[in-house]
Amino acid sequence: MNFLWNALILINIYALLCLGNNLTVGYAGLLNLATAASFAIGSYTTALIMTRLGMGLPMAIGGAILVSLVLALVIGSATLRYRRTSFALASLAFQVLVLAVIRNTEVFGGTLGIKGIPRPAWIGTGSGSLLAFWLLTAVILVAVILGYLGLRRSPWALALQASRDDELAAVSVGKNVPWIRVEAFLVSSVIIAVAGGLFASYIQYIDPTSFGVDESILLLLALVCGGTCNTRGPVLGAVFVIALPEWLRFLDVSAPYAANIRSIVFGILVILLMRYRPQGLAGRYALD
Amino acid sequence: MVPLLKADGLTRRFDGLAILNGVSLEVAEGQCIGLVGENGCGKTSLLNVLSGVDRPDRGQIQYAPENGQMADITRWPAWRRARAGLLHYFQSPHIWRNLTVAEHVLAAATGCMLEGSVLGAARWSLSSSLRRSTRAKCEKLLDFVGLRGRANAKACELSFGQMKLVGLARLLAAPVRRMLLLDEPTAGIAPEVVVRMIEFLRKVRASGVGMLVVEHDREMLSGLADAVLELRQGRVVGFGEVA
Repeated sequence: MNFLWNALILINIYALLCLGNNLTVGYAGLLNLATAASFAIGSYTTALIMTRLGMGLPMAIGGAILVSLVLALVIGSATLRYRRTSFALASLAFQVLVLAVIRNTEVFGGTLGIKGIPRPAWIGTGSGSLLAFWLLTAVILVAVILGYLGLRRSPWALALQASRDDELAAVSVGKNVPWIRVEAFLVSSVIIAVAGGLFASYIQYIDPTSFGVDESILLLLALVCGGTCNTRGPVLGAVFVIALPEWLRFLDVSAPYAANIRSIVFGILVILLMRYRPQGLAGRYALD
Repeated sequence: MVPLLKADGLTRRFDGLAILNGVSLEVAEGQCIGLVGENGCGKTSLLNVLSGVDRPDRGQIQYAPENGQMADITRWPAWRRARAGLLHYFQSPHIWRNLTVAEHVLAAATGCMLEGSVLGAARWSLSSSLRRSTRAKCEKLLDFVGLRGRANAKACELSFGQMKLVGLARLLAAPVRRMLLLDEPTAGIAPEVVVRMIEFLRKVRASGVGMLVVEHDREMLSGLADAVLELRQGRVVGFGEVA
């Protein structure tokens, strides 16, 4: 039973990651290869606030959101004027930079990471604690989805999609395209920081291996498979990321092999989808 | 006449070749000037420089925003000029291929700082009266261009002429309209719609909006323009009132 709750909690956390990434990749049309870096910023900030300052999860996540917003504002302002390819490369550089800092800085625990991150006391430690943690992640996921549903037909979301489809036309009707993109990046960073905070508190131990370039690519592939520009696609992508290796366990495939098989399946699926269903399994926007 | 847009000595070079060579012009409120000349003479380049899509190498552009005095806008980005009501209608349709026809007009109708921001999105979600009034305005514009029946169709599914009409509705939906830069607005549009478009543009002009129109159709120009400015090899070679 614990195995099932574990998968369901991770699905909720990864759904948050994909929903956050959906704003930059789907709505703004920018290939973001630094999702794992933003995820790491949220996770590490939460972990440090909880372990060093002894604060609770809500305060720690609040701190993670603040740090993410500041960094996103700096990075976004510097990179979101770039065209698509340049932005993808800049985001990749940011991903590598963040990981290098984490690996080589003592306060982040270097390659050993940070241990002993507590779960909130009110969640408890008994048999119901996983259900309680799942409920916590589910409430946050539902709140984010409701926010998304409110935003999706707003002039802001339309302007974001307009700037993605034809930047010149968006500018010609008064859309400040670089700033709209920075806003999308900020909102995206907040959602990803929250996911990072929940992840750190749930796993209770984080190290750089969870936030590498391969994780960013996996999250991007999950989004591409599920689909972009709505809420169904990113959630479906998250289900794939988590459920596939878990399902492989039933076939007696060991965890490292399961991760490799997941990558192979994702690779094949993305190639097939690009050919036959470029908008993903449940998406609205076909990536070009 | 109250001056609205003034360009002085605009020069633009590409690879050493002067596409615009010291172009000066002035458009007043409610005035429509036709821009004519052979292909490659610099008509589209002039509109690009005036709207901020491109930057001049030399020269100055002055513009009078709503309730404002003439300001030097040479360094303003294109989006800021558009928000001040200096709007550019491109020769090619430039549609947003994943948005519907209605979404095109809606996106353009809400261009101000707050409504177009993520904070404004919350207000939009909560205010049904704001949504209703904006949608009513959009429906009126779609009625005008005859595309209300296709409001929910994706713009990429339309014919070329319909795409141009979507572009026109999008332009006219802008919250502030002071000066229109129209690059061959009637090209590819059915004749009966062209007649309605000219009528509508006349009404828009009568409300004090200035216009600079690139058009090969002299008949269309004579029905709309007060004066015609001729360009040749990036220079103004003639200016005359329309009889």
